[in-house]
Amino acid sequence: MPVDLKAVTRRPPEVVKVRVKRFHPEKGQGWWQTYEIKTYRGMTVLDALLKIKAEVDHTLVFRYSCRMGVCGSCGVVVNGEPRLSCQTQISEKATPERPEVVVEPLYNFPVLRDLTTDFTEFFEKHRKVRPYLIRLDKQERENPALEYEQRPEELEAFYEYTLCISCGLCDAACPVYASNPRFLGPQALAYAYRYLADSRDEGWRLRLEELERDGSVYRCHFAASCSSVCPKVVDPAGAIQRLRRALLAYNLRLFKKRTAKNVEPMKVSAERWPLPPEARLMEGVDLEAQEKGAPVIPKEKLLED
Amino acid sequence: MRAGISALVQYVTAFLLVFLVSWHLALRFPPVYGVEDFPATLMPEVLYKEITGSWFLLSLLLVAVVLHGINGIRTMLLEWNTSRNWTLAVNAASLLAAIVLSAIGIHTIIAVAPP
Amino acid sequence: MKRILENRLGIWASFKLMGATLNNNPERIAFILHRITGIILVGFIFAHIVSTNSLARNGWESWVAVEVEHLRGINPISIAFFIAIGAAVYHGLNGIRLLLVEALALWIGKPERPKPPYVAPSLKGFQRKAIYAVFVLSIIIWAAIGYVMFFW
Repeated sequence: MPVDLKAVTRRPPEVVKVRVKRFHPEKGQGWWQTYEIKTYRGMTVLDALLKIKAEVDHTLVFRYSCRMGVCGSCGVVVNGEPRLSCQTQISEKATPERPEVVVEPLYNFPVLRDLTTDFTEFFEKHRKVRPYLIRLDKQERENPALEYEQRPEELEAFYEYTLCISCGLCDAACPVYASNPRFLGPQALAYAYRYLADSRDEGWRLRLEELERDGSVYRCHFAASCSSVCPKVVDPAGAIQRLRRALLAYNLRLFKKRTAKNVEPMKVSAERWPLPPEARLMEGVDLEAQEKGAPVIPKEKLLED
Repeated sequence: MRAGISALVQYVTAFLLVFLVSWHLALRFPPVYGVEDFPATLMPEVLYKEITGSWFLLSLLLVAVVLHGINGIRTMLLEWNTSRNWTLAVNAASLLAAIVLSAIGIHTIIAVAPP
Repeated sequence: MKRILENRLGIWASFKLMGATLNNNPERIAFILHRITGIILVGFIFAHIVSTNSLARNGWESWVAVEVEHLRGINPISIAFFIAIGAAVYHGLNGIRLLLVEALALWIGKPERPKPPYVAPSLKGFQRKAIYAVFVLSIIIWAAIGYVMFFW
């Protein structure tokens, strides 16, 4: 999600209309409600919702936690685009010509009340792709005595996908997830690729067999909306294409993967790294003594109050 | 049909169609036969030579286009509704349509008479 | 009484220009156009297969009188052909891009650590330039075909 610096730093219109799509489960009806609030520079959509809840209408229900784009619980649809409400400035969406922000619950998720959506199905799909490391040596997996060897470039191959915060914006933007309830969704598939690409994981045969049987990978048609709305730049669209290439290669018996070996933990040596010959210690510094404990500063060097 | 096979069929026929459709369209370009305009490339003498001469490429184009098109529509319809009966009905209708359209096309290629 | 509101957009998400409100996402527009041109092509090609069968059933006189003469000049049949050929050109050019992106995972960049301006690698890859190339090339080729069809 690229940031338009000019739009997020400008002053929003003085008064902004916030249109919220609401739903009451006990009445069983949905309706649109419009609130007018005064804004300030730097106000986010979440701030606006909190202000409405505090000052105008306390029955408005929404989910949030960290307010800084880390927890991924405040996903809503703002002016037709899935966004984290805590990371969306009012000034990005409301212009002086059209001072209006339309807030809806996330598309493709069942709505519990107002802006709160149900993530049960989402996390079931997440669980389906086995989001954990699989090692063939069960004894070693349960009671590890050794470490996994991993090179920096092997970490780079999947590091990007580990940043996912499970906010569900990609699934809300996906046109295939919208119509096909069996589709695993960009989030789960990106996670499947994250573990497939991890050199410590040995379960690639199991993962690929399951994905082939499920068929979700082939349902993706690269509309790439998931990548364009992702607040953490996880790039699920790229992950699914790589997953599909891996599956096609696996079906042609061409898939290869280097898995990490178990290695002895690195020995921590107590010996000091020798100083280069041109290095000279400062006066009054005793390295040997410093390694044993905190440095003792001579009293005459302390500043008096 | 497994989604993997359906996707593979789609990719292979797509690859073939890139060349076959280009060829099919390029043959309607007037200078290919040295005639004055585009409908003139559809005149009986020209067309009969083309159909009998490249019957294999034409039938390959026909089968590839029928598979690709029907498979594509089938994928969309299966996305629309995922119930079991609907899936069965769509698969049966796709198979029937593929057979009927291929038969009609092959009949055109075989039964064409000299002008 | 509904306790839970189903909020799935359904198949219309594939045709709604949500791509216009999603910023930095011409892939969505390309996807919608790919679907629409695909549907146009299926309708056209199946009609084409059935109508060319008159060659085998009715012989060459009716072929020249009915099929070929309708393609001369501007009339509904020739315009239908023109639209279908345009759809085929776009569907084919975008299809080449999709073959490379989907089946072979080319042109989508390399996984990298996020850095400003926070654009995903697959959106920065060569496939993005290819989309614009597809849009421009298909219009040029379509115009050229229109020239050959109507003004040669």
